[in-house]
Amino acid sequence: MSAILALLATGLRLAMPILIAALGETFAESAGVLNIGLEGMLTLGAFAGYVVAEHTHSVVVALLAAIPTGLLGAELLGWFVIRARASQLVVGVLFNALATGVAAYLYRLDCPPGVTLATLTLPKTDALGLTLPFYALLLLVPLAEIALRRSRVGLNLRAAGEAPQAAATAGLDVERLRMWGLRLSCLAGALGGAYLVVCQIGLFRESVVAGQGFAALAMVIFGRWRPIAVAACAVLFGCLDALQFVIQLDAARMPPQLFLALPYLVSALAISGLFGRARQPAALGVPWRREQRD
Amino acid sequence: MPVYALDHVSKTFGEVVALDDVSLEVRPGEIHVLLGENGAGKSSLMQVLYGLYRPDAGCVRIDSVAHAFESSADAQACGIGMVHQEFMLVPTLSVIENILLGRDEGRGPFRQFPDWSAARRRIEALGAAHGLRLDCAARIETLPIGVRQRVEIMKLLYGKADLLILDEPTAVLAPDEIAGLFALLRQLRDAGHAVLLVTHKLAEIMQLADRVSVMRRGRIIETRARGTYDLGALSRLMMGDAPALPIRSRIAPAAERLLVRGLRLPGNRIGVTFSVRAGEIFGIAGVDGNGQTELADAIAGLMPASCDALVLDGHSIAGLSVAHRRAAGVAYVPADRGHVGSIGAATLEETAELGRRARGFLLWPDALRARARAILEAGHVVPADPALRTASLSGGNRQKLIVAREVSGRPTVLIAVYPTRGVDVAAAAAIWSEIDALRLEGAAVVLISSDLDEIFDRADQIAVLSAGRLTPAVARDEADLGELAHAMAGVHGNAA
Ligand SMILES: Nc1ncnc2c1ncn2[C@@H]1O[C@H](COP(=O)(O)OP(=O)(O)OP(=O)(O)O)[C@@H](O)[C@H]1O
Ligand SMILES: [Mg+2]
Repeated sequence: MSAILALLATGLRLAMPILIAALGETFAESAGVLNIGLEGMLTLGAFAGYVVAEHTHSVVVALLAAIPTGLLGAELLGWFVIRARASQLVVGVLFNALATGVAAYLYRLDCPPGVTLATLTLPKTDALGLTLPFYALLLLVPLAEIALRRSRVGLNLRAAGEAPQAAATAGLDVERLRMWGLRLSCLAGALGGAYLVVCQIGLFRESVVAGQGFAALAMVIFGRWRPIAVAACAVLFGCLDALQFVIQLDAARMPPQLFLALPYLVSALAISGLFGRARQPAALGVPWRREQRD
Repeated sequence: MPVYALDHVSKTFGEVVALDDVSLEVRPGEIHVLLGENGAGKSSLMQVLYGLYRPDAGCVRIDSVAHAFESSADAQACGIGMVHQEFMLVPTLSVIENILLGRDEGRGPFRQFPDWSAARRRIEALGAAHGLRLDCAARIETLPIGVRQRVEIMKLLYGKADLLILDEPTAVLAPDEIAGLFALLRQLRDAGHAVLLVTHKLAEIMQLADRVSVMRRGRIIETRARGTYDLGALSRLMMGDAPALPIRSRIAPAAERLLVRGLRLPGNRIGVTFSVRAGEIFGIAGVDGNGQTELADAIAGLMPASCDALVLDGHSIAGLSVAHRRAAGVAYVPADRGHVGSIGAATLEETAELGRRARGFLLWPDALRARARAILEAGHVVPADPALRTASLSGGNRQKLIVAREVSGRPTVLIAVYPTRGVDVAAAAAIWSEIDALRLEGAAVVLISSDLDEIFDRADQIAVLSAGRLTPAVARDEADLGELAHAMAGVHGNAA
């Protein structure tokens, strides 16, 4: 197996949590909701996955634990940013802090510190080192593309994010559409977190997510709100991440922090606007109110 | 087809009583015109009927069955369709996507996937039958306002509405487009549809209305059938004894103030050239979408454009920023009052202050409020409360505020695009007396409009802008209305 292929396979593997989270976030943002709380959702999903895996020893059940976690998080966030029309930015940042705190607290209550998921039978890997859950989740990419860009709900979601007033005038329920976008984002975030812990690293710390939720937010911009492009950007991010492992091993004298920062540097550059600028959904982050003119 | 009625409807926004116990009935096979001054409550009433506003009291009755609409989806399900005063299209979506938006047809899992090609065929068939040419794949944001209007009307036809509500549909249309729209409305009426048309333009009513209802300050004060009214009676009902348009006093033309030479609009190598003297109104007629906005934006400095010369009072302003041009005396009333001319979320006093050049870092609340009050009063803006949100104003009042603000800086050059769009007769008179006063002080005015009557009435020199080119200017006394209309129609509807 050539080095390139190995790099690509590792990249794909590393990309998966970000990829899923970014796909979900694409739906939320298309509907006009900027879910800054994505990072926190990953953390909560990671924790839920860890706890459930520890008790059930089942990968599938552990991944499924992401569903109630994500829905719960979405209800909380949605109450603030959609019902109460609070600032999506402020609520998201607070939610991240809250999620880290809650996960850390519950972890200390419930689990002996530093124990890895040794008892878990990790899914079998193929020649590329990839697992069945990986391939199953990869199927979400074309599904997301079709749902957002080709289906009626996708059209409705995009209308709610571009021109909520026009969407409401066309008879759509803007708040419901936005709530569904947010739910998808939170579900995907929690799933990404659970996947990270259960299928990749096998242990939990409150810092285990380490900015991957923010990276996912960047990937959505980088991929210009198109699911396939967003997924491709996430894979690129994963490959850079894999590359830094390789380079770090080879060039031991360089400061390792530099390589750790590499994927983040590249994504910061990618969304800086230096390489063309795409327009974000016009009403992204703007609360919408019935009967209010704008 | 059913009879639609509003039954004792009331609606307030904070302190403002928009609708006060209003009842109205529209029958199948009639064109019912709703007439009223700016802020009378016409749009609000239509939004109630269309399910967008929930009334505080009263209800919608369809064949005397009471309905409480939760959203416009409910209204659509009852056969109601509406063209809004401020267009309700999603700019980044295509024409066909906008038409299908919110329309649930089909069943089962395939409901999620609209049959685009069938929809396209239907749109094309409807377009052919009613003379509405549309390119289904075009994105809305690339289309001029006149074509967007056609998309809105196509939405109505596509939805097979029994009741068609049109809120000031003619405000941005050229004469022959208006004639086309009216023919279409008559055709629909004769097919048994009910049509509810909101307008300020009295002349249109005489041509079209079977019945007229007049609104004033949130109430319907009278409904009359065709033949029982004349223009004078209607206008007195609408706003008491209205002031007529101010008579244009002539002053001797003075020195050249503004010179535009070789200004190239997008897609045109031949530039636009004209000059305006002090005390003169230079009218640029044309169908919207032929370069009007670009020309105005280029002079105001909002859009970079290459030109051979752009001279104000002997000094070139070509290289200056918007702020410096304003400081040099350029004022601008843009076509898009919602997004370019004002900020919806700002208060009236903030909107009145926008773009004012002043020294000092702080905004002093008392001075700010005093200046705002002066501008609101000069522009006859109602309600004149400086603390209101700008977005809560009715369309016409927002326009009045923008004109009053621009004029208040006593500019030497005023560029006015559709300055009386959606404004009632009294307000149009007020706006024109403000602009006229400015002209008499020696300002040069560039008037850009698709309303040929207005141009003919107000301008000293007239030229026609068509497909990005300007015809040579003629003095008003030598201009021929027919010829101008012909020149306007020359390259008409370039985007469809
Ligand atoms: N969503 C809203 N929020 C606050 N005030 C509103 C709102 N909608 C309407 N109003 C107020 O209600 C009154 C009636 O407004 P409306 O838009 O119905 O007038 P209109 O007759 O359509 O006027 P125009 O001819 O200028 O369009 C105005 O004073 C307006 O400020
Ligand atoms: Mg109105």
